Amino acid sequence: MSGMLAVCQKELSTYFRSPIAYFVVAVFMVGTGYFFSYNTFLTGNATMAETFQNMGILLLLVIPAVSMRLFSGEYGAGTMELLQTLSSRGRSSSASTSERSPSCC
Amino acid sequence: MGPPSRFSPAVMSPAAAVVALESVSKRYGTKTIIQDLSFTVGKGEIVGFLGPNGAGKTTTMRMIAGFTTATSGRVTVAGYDMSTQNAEAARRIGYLPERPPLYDTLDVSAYLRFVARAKGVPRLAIPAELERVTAACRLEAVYRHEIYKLSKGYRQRVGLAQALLGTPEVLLLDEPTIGLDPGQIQESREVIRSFGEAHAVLLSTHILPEVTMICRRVAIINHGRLLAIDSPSGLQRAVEQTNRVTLQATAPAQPLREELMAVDGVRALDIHAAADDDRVLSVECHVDAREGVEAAIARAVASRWALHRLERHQPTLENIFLHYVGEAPAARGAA
Repeated sequence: MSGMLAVCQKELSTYFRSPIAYFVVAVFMVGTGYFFSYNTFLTGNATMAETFQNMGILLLLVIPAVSMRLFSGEYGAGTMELLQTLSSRGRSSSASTSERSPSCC
Repeated sequence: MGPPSRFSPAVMSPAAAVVALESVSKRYGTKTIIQDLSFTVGKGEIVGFLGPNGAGKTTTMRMIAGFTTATSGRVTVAGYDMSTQNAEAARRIGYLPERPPLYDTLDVSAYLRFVARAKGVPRLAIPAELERVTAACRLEAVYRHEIYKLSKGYRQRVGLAQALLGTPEVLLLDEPTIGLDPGQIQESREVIRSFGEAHAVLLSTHILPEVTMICRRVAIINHGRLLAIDSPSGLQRAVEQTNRVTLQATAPAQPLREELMAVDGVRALDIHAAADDDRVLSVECHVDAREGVEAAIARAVASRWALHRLERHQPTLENIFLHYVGEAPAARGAA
């Protein structure tokens, strides 16, 4: 469990070390802000329900944008080998993900 | 040169073996990468793993480390079966893959702290652990540098430091000295050697002298099969087919030839003048592998002429390696 926390913490700190995290946060805030002001001021509904609904849809786009490179990045940097051989891994018998690079031996 | 081999896979008790492979095979589809591979690495032993490119060294390392699983056979590390108890076993393994697994955006200290935490090193023990591996791998100078700024040699050493974290029982090193300068290679060897005194180390390498220097046993593999496993000196004895004896003497050529050919055990001769002095003859004799031939030659020559130098050549690890992987050593020129 502590291993998973370590991986999580490392990922978060890596995001905030580069502009990516700030950019993604800005995009999300602008989007949410647009839906909030549209629903509240233009439609005239004094409720957050639709804003939250739109936030969910916005997250559908934002989360893959942030996370899609994670696995390929690990494979690309060769760090998947480290992560998969750490004790934090709960993998028991399946080895399908680790057999993606059979060419080098 | 290590002591003569006392262990063979068959006689080594499983208790002493920290890493044990029992007829392990690995197939990708119809392609067999590793075939029926069995060997052990004991506590306090450094085993060198030799083979040409594509022989299956890295695949074997990955199976021991738990990155891939064996198609058949059993891999055990510290008594834990890698196919069922790999989380237990993984805690006892330090692994440096062929390409050091580094996060370029982290600095060295953050990276090592991350690996220590992910490996489950107790939080209070982490600072001492970091200090230990930093000192062992001489990383003080780059401790606060981001990894992408480091030279290849330093990257390799950070990878080694990472593998040493948590004092694992087994250290798997896939070509650990690649890209290092001679001074760094020396330092890394010392680190590995001192670590290997109390732990099991499996080291794959292309650098043959390195194996002779630090490994107690050498395993040679090719096409996924284990060809030989023994101490470097044991391997040397095993391939002593034609030994060479070279000598220099001041003597007339024809009588010297006759005298030498009369010595029991001498098969062929090559006589030519020494490069620096034409009165001195250089002789290269091909002799039988048994002991004492060179002494008989020395007696025969010294009784009639002046013998300046006599040397018995033994096969180098390079010749042994080529012998086992199927290339004629003579084709590459005698070493």
